[in-house]
Amino acid sequence: MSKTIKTLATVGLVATAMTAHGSMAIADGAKEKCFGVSLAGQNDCAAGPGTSCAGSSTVDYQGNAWTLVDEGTCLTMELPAMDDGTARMGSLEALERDLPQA
Amino acid sequence: MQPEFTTSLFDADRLPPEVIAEAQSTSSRARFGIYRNNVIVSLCDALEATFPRTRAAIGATNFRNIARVFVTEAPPTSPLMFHYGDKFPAFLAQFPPLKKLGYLHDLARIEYLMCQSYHAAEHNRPDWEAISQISDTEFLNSTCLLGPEVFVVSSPYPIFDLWRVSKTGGPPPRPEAQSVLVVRPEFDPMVLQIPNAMARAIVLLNSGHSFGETQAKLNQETDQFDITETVEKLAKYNCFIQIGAL
Repeated sequence: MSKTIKTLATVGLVATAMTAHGSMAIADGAKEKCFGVSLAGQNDCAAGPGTSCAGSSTVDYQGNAWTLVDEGTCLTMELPAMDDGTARMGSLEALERDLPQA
Repeated sequence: MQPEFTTSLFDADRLPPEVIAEAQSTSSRARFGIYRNNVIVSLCDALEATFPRTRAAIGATNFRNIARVFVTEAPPTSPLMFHYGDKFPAFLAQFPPLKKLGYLHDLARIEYLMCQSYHAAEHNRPDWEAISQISDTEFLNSTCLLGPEVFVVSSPYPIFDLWRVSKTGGPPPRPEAQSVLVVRPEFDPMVLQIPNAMARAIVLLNSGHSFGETQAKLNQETDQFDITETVEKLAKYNCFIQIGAL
């Protein structure tokens, strides 16, 4: 009995694999690197020590730290305004704002 | 000469090695002490960079204290710093003061594997066009090769929830055993939650079992298991190098 179920279940295995392969970009949406939106210590670099992004971001919304977001959402993301009241925006390139104090 | 130097470097109770001029003098001892501290601090920094969430989970000061102990017990064996820390999860698992945080070493393991996934070599992909021509039965009889960037972690703790919460907050972890899959479909690694049965299936596939054998083994535990979902997940995130001879 359960043998039948198993055989049935695996019908379409090849078809499933064919549809699925490489569909990640479509299904989950492509990602883009968004600078200046991550909270301190939560930027998305997984490269580890001995690389240029070791150490993670140290201030909130650090301009030169990036995080992966759904494509097309980086520039429209809502962020708290800066201390002087001007709007804070994400960027597809590294920013000069909110850098850690040297 | 090098073994003696290394031993002195990681044991503060020892005198500087003989190769240092006037090793016994007070000034040599002071200067070697500074060097010793610099080495240890830089290795603690390396661990901080690889294990940011483990650090967040126990606090910066605790992490630093533990890292210091680890660094002196298990100095690096490779000059590539992103490989350093492979023994850190096991160290956390047996470190008595952390006994209550049973999940911590699994969290650290995910962080370490994510870093390895990032640096793993790129690989070829299966010949999907040729695979589309084979039958489901042929597919089931095939084994597969998974990419070097693919890792599975299964934990008796809700490790995916803990991973998620450690970064973005959100709902508290659910009380259940969870498994995660580390993949790198494009340029950056991702951590996905997968069913525990799927995690076992991927481990079986990775150790050379065919899709059919894996299905049969998992079906000994539950009739619900369907290898199709595992294949779908692995295909979607570009985990396969080869399926059968294709």
